[in-house]
Amino acid sequence: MMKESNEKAVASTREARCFQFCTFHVAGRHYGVDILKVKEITGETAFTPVFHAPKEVKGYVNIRGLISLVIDLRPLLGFESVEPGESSRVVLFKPEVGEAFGALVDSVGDVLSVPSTSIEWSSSEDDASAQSGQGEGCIGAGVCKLDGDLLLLLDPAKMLQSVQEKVLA
Amino acid sequence: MKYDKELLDEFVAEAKEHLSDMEDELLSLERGSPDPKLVDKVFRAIHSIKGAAGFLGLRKVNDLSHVMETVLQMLRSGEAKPNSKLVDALLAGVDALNGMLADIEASEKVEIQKILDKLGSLLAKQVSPKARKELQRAVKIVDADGRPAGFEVSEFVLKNRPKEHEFLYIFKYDLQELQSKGGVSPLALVKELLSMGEILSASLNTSAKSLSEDLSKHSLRYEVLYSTVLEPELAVKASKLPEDRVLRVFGEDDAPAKKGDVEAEAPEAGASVDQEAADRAEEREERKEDSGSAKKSSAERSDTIRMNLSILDKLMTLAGELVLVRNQHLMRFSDSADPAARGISQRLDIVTTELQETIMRTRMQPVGNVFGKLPRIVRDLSAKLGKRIELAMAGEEVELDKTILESLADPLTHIIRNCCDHGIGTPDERAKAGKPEAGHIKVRAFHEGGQINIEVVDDGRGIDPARIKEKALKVGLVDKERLAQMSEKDIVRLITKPGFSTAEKVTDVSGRGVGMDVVLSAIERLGGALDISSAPGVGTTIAMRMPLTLAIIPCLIVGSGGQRYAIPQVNLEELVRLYDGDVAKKIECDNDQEVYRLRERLLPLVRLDEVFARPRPFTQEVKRLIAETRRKELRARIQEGRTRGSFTFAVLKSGPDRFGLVVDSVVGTEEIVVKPMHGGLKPLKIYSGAAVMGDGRCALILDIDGLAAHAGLDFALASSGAKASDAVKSSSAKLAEETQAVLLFKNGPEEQFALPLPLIKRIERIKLSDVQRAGEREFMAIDGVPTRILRIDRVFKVSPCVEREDMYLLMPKHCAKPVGVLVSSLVDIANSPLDLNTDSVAEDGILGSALLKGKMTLYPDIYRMVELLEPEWAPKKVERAGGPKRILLVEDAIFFRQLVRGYLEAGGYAVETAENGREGLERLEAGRFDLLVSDIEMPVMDGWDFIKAVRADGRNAALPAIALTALDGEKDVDKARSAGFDMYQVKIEREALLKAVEDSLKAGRRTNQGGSRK
Repeated sequence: MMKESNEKAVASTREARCFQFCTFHVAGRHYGVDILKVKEITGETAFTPVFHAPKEVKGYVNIRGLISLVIDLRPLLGFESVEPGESSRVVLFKPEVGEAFGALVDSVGDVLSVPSTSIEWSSSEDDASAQSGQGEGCIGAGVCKLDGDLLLLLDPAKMLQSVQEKVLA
Repeated sequence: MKYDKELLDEFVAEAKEHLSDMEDELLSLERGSPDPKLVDKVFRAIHSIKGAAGFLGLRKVNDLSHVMETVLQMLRSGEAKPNSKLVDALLAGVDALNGMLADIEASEKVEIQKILDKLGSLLAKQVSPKARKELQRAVKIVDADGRPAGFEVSEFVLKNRPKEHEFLYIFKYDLQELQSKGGVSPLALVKELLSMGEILSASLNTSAKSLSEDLSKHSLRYEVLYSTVLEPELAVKASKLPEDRVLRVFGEDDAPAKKGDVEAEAPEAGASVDQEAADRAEEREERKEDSGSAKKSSAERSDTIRMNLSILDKLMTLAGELVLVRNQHLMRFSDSADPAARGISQRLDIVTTELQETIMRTRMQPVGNVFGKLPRIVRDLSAKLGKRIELAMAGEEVELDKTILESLADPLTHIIRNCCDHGIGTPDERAKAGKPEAGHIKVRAFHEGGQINIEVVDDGRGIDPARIKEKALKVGLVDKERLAQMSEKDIVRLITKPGFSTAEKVTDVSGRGVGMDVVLSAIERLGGALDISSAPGVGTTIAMRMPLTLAIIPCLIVGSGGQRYAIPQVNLEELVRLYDGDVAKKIECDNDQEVYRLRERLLPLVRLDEVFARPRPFTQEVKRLIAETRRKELRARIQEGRTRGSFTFAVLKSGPDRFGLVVDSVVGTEEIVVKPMHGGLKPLKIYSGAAVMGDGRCALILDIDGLAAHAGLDFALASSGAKASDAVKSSSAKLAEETQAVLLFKNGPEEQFALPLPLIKRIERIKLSDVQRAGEREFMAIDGVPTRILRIDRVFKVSPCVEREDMYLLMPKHCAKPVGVLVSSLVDIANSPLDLNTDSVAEDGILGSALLKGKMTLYPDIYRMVELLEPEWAPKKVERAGGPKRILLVEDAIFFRQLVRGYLEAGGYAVETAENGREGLERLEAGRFDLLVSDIEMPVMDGWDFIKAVRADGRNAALPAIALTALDGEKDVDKARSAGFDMYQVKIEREALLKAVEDSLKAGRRTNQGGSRK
């Protein structure tokens, strides 16, 4: 039920009351993605490196027979890449977001419900200006104010797009 | 209409498939695509829809597709041009058909009159008056006796049938019967009919008032006017009808009744019901037998379902994953003590394996699906070309992966077309060659070695290598020298090169700029191979080898940098592993490219780790860098004595080229399920896909062509066998001229020494403990002869000998007494440049130095060494009145110059040297000499010209001269004599040279005319 109403909320407009975000941490920062875009979260970190791919590509991982591309969020967000640790997870996205892929994060946080009033979506102009930029700018979806914290919203489709552009570059 | 839903669904799916590409095709027709096949394809697609719709009683679909078909027929015959208006109307028709298909049950209620009118009026405007007249004139269809058979078709349709469609039939079906008997699916029937002919018209008669009524109580007569190539008895078979329901008919103008040969046709037509009655019983029997096989095939058809390929892929993925789970389970429980658990494990194992195999089979289809098209092609072509060609096929039941099968259709068609057009000659031509007038083409499919083989054999003209050669030269495919080295088979293979077409005149059959190169590349893309063999005048065999499936490919798994990579077996030729010392010795560098000499062929080597480390394609600079680092590394290894280890590379083929891929390890072979690369990573050309391995981790599949391209391999050096070995030969010949083979060895830990191989008599492996001492001197018994041991470090200022139990003794030639040079290790045999550096190491007894294998190498003069150690052994210096005799030595190579000068000076002569003939003349000009010793092959002025010049100058006409050369043919000796040399010495025998010098000096010129070569 909950899921359905959310879907409607997203589908209709941004005036809806609440959004749910799957949150995670990268380099000590708090990020979130729309939970409806997340397929699953896995602790599988046996990556197969893909040489010649940009550093933002962590490698391939086998999730029940489906080979998924893992994007390393650290370099994509402008941080130093580190080896995955105990708490590292891969957030896998649904097929409609893009061809089998996921993002490597330092750790996952809670699922947060946020009223739309405290969300500031980035406009398309911001997007345009951030196209060439590095870091959050090019994959950001918006900012969300929490109690004493700022949740940076990311757009997974843009992650993939950004990596694809780097492959071609 | 009460056909079942299933049947309708099948029709809809098929029709949609037909329509799916039509839009694009129509548009490219509008753009003026010159491909006549395109119109034909669209025509046939619409025709199929029409035919099936007729059988299913879908009148509106039938009507619309019928009008569209007529328009397309106009296009096909060239009566109308595909202008935008016409294409618009056709597209509107496609849209309307799609609309009807979307809700097929309601299709009868759709209004299509508007489109019909539009198409009709356009048609009327577009076509020529003649065609319009033909279109409007209805021709009655009559039976053999000229009685109307209830059909009328326009003259145009009748006229524009394919030419080979000699026959017209009316098939009288009862759809109700067809339905209730359930024997043959109407769709399958239509398909079969359309594969052999065209349905010109059809009519549906029913006692029911409306088709939407339940028709089960009414009869439903469906009559089809069928135009075909099939002779009467075959037509009956194809129709799946009893003979009495098949009526041979004619256009009223061609009716035999009119022509007056009714008798001839009537019995064949098998139309008379009376005649039939008698044979009925007998015939029933026959049909029963027939229906046995028919039933089987129809049962198969009705048992099939259509499904999305992605579901199959998913199933396959899951089955693969299940295999992994099974593997883990087996590992965990196979040695379990509990017998029940073991039993379960075993069953899981069996079921999983079977499941995987079964899912694999879902993708398989019989090759017959592609072969089925061939008879028509051959028939059409033989008619068109005025040839008689018989086609035989075998192995239609052999199964192949659907994707491979589909991609195989075009190459195979092309090969068959080639056979018909170029291969088989005209009947006259064949008769002259003493062959039967009808040519034969045999197409055969069979399993062999885990692959599918498809052979096309014809008994035609064969491929004439002479013509290929001529053509290849003309279009500049190869040059003359290259051609001369090629075997006949290689020459025949030239037809698969791009830009080659043997057809002298471009025909519309096979010479459309699409050549065998396309066939080859299509087959190679599928991981297959193509082999052509031909005997001129006898025939040609084209053999294709295809993998069973593309989804699973056998791969070699290699390790590099801790990861595994898969190399498809089709790209793999062999594996080479070098051990220990060979690693350093056998890997050479050519033009900044590491190469390995594999059976007289230079094989460029690519290091996988270097490729991975460099995302950008290699530039010359990068290649140089790699070669240099690797050389250094090897050098370091040798210096430190770390020669242990191995070096593995896989010999891979990339098109016609070969290269070696250096890997860390070879893991083994595995059949892997191929997954495509992630869309975002497709631009990475060095991978062709990925796979999940047995342990659940991913491995990347290497794209061999991509790797070769990335590494910037230049195959010019080692392209094809003949050329490469030639390159090797010529380069080794060149090496022999400009270099001297030397043995590299070490005594102390530091220096490397080189000794020319021709100076070494033998190398003895000795035990240090066997060495005996006599005072300062060391001896050792070699073959019972006490041999004096010389230590290099006693003569020269070099690092002391590294003493080991196992040492070597180098025994030089031309020594008066047995001696051996003690060395601690042998490094290699190398080609040394002849130019030695004489400045850096100026020590008595050292000829010079050079950089060999990246290491400073000293060239000791072994004879000087002996003299220095054992002064009393040296030949007695001859005391001569008036000082030593003066010898002019002309020699371009510093190596020999030093060596010979050393010998001569040791012999007590005063030696002056010159680097070539011109310099020699200058020296002669400046001073007085007693003897000339000259090399023959020199730059600037060679020995021949030099001696001629010397003899031409009166002053030196009597000066004795010795030729010193590497050339030792009889011819050269004679030539040397006639040019003016007195003696001829082959490089380089010390004693002989000294003797010759002495003799020449003693005797002067004239008496030595007969000199020796000794």
